[in-house]
Amino acid sequence: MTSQMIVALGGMLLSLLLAPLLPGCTNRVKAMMGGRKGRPLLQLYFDLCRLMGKSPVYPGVTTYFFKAAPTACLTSAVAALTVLPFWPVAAPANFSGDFILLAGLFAMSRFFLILAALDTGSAFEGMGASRDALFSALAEPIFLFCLLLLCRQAHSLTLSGMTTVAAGPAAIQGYWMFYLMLAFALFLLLLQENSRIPVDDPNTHLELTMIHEVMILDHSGPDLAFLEYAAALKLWIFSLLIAGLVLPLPSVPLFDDGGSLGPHGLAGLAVHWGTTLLAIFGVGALVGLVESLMARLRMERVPQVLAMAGAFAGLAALTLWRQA
Amino acid sequence: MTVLPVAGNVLEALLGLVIISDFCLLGAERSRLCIRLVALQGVILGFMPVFAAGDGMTPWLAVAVAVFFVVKGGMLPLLLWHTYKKLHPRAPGASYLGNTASVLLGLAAFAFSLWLNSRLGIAANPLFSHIFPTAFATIFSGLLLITSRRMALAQIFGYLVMENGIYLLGAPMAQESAVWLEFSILMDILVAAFVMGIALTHINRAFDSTDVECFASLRD
Amino acid sequence: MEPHSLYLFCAVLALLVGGAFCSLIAGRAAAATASCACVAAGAVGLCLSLYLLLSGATLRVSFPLPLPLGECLFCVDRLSSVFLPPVFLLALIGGALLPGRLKSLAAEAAETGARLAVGRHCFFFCFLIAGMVMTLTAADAVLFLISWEIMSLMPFFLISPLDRDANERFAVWVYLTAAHLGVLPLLLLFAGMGAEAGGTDFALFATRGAWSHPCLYFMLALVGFGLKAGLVPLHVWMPEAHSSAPGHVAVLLSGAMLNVGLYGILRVLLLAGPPEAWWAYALMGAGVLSGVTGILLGLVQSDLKRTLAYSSAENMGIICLALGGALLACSIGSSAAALLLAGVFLHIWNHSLFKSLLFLAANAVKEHTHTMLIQRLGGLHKRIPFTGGCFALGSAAIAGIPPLNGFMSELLLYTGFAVGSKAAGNTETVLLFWGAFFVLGAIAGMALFAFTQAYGLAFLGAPRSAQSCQAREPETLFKAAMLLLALLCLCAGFAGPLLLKALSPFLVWFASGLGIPTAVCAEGMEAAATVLAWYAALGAALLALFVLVSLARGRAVGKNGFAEGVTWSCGYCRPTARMQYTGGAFARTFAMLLHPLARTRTVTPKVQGLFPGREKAIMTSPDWPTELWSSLLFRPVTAVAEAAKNLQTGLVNLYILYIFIALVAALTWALGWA
Repeated sequence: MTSQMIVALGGMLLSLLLAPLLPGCTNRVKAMMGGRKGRPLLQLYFDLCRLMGKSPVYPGVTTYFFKAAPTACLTSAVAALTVLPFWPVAAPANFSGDFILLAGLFAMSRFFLILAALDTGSAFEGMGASRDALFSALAEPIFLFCLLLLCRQAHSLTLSGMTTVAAGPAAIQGYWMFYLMLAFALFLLLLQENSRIPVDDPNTHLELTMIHEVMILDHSGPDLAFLEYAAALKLWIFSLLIAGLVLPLPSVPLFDDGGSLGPHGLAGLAVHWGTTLLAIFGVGALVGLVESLMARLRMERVPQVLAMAGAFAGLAALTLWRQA
Repeated sequence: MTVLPVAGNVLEALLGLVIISDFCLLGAERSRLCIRLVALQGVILGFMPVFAAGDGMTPWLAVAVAVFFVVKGGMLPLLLWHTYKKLHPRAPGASYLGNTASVLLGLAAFAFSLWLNSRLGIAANPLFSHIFPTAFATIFSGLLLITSRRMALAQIFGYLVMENGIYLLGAPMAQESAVWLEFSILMDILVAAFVMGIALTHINRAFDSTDVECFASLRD
Repeated sequence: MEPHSLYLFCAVLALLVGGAFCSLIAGRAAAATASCACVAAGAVGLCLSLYLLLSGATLRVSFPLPLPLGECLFCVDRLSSVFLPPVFLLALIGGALLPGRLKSLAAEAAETGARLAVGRHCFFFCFLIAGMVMTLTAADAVLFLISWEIMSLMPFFLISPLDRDANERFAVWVYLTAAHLGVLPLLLLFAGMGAEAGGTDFALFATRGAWSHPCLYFMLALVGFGLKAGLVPLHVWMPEAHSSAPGHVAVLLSGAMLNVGLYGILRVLLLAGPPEAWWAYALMGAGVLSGVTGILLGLVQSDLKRTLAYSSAENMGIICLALGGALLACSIGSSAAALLLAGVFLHIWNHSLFKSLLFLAANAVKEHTHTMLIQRLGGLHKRIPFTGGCFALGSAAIAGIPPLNGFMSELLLYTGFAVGSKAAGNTETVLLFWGAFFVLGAIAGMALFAFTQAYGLAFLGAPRSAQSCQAREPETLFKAAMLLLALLCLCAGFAGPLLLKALSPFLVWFASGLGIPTAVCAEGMEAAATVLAWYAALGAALLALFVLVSLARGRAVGKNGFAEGVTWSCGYCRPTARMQYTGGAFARTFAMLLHPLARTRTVTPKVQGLFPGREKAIMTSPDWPTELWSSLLFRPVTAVAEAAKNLQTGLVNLYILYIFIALVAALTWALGWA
């Protein structure tokens, strides 16, 4: 195993460990904006530990899918981390077209989650499943299209090549507008895919207005822990993607000629990882900011948010055309 | 490009922000959000002459920048805010077209201005062709706002956005004379906003609404 | 050419035709006879076609039959041998299921008093397969048309063996009309080509370099074959026919006969010479229309089998879109063409697998519940876990869930479009590739919606009616057939590199036929191989990870123990099964959002008075292309025909007047103008 691979796997491990911190960060920003002290930053870790020790309750009508959904969601989120590059090295699995696999993995978790919701036979969960299926079906082509635009700009069909990992800050030179538009579109998609305000309110207590929360209403114990962890990972993945997109960091050669990580490289690695984490938590804070400044939209207006994301992807395409 | 690379990048980013605020305005329904966006656009545009001037920064220009900054980013939004508070608009400023359609029209406007830019050929000032599509798209979105919005207040946003576009168009030629010309336009708009604000208050009092459809009853 | 394969091919045809005639006279053993013949022919044919595909050999066999025109010449070239394996596989499965299906049909007939002609049914079934094999191998235009007619006519006899109700009769009628109209463009196409080439042999067509009207031929082929492939708006027969047909027939119709339509388009592409630029646009346009409209109409259906039929239109649309993309990539000399072609052929195979699996599972359900309406089903998975699991796997495959086979071919298509857009120089081409990529993403998203809905509402939750409680697992053979298809769906996802390797000689040959240089093609194939290898590896890793995470979850649950409760209904303590979400509610927002394409109609009653009586709100999603055709074509024709009926008065004097007028007119024309 090369040291490049070790660094990449280290990045993955870092993601797995720190992902539950991201919702905490968002919540802290929300609390601060609301003039409250807020719950602890590590709240989700406590929740997960507590949930893992509880015994679940399964509704009588449910089948295998109800139990498979938490596993599938977590599996797909972890698998998505293998194709997603973590600064400053390429992802453990990078090949032409890996960005499509990323969308496929999201589709997989959605498939199982929707089935699990319908498995309970509850009208409310059916409603949530219907909404989630609809909004994700609208978001998926836009998400793929955003990444496709990057393909052409970065002359690479891999996620690692598309984000600034491989190309460094030179790639972004002269394409600021393009990257800005794209980041904005992806940010809107982040809000949708992770069920944040203005699409969905993670804190609402009214089942009629929920999307994601109502789908996991009947899950409890370790199942709920898996789902919460998978949701945190998904938020992390989107934040990492956006951070990797717009972070204009100089790429310092980390590895010496033998391909090993010297003391100089270690320092560089620490700087890179620190900056990336800062950027990820920055995105998390931005989500918190949006959540405190905006009200959630009526359901029928959610497609307009997605249309907005689509329009920004279209703008990015136009700016790309202008530069070409 | 005449500007420094770093400045060029920041300029690109600022232009991107202008476009983003245009589109958000087209998609936004609530007047409060619109006012915030107009203020944001004003602040961004306030910086513009700095980049346009490059190294030829003169004290006069600095003063002009400061004035633009204050008027565009501060005074006009405050005025609007004031008017908005007075009006208590009950219905949000929905669009005749629907938000999605107006955002898509904005997209078409941007595509059109890019096309226009490619047809114009290379301008004497390279910065001009750089800024032109954004400026033109901004003017278009202003026009779109004016024509498609139901509430009179939203039409003032349209005027302001249009003016921002004109201003952006003039930014590359920010010699002092041009600045003065721009100043006069800005003052016109300022006065117009004043007048509209007062008029709106009166209209509101007379019709109990500022829906422009009510004005139709004034003909003949 | 080897004599062994020649004999085997003749044996396959002989088995099918012989089996057909034997079952006519076999009396009680008819089903067993036909079944043996189909299974034997399927097994032999499958081996033969796979051998021919791998070896790349071409088989030409000519029978000395006195045809009025042309000659009886069959040729199994590489294109045929790609399309033959699904036909033979499904012939094998359909043949094996035939006796069981006929038994249950006979039981139903005895119950309702309907008549079931077993011998004739078997005869037509054998001939349906024979017709498909002949169409795929005919190397002469006249023979091709004859085979095509045989193939097209057989489903007319097979769709509705019991003639249950008006709906089935309508389905049969629509099918017959569509099949007849569809042959018209093909007749014109081959007449034109034959007249120009001075013969009817396909080899003659292939050697002719320049045609005078290649565009006309292409359009005729697209319409004629597109109708058989079920491209929107020519798909009107498909939802009716596929949803009425019994299991063993539906499998062949959806998994094999649609492919024959695609085969026709591809064959004409090879015969009609170098493709012109706008053919790519036409194919892409047809693909987009078919894909988007197909899946959208599919997701608003409340009948499970109709949803499946519409999704066939969607998949055919995807294939058409990718084919157009391949032609476009050809014109810019990009390696994307090879990627897209590989995706196209893999998707054709994959679609045959998962669609037949889904139709089998749906028919297994229908056999005992006697309904396919989602609002009457529900809770099936608990009762029939095997069938439910198979349907779930098929849904996951068709919705593009990794690591199954549906996403494998879609991954190649996506990558192909991305490579094409990266390589393209001018703006229009980039935009076309971008558009195709976007549309493919949209279709995939909608397919996920449609199939989570179909599976989740029909199989999960609580049963919505007594009919749903009657569901039972089918017989063992039926289960084995589903298991085979399900395993193939699962394995094909991992066997991508192998499948590509098997296809690659064919792909190189086909690409050179379209004018793609070998070097470019090799580059594309290499890219495809890399993608598929990664997909297989990551798929395996995904599966392993899934098992690991399940074990971890199982341990946690096992340690804490678990309890069984009721579904949380937000405080309401008497939820019933009828309160669950139904198909109409699930898809309503989507249908409203894309109303111009879905055209869902809702009739809400006016509730009046203080004590209103029972009222019904009705939500329907009629097939609007059918209505379009009937208003554009059928109603005017009917009007003209009705008007023409006035000529027939029954008065002899008037008839003599007609003769007199005709005579005078003829004389005037002959003397005045000639």
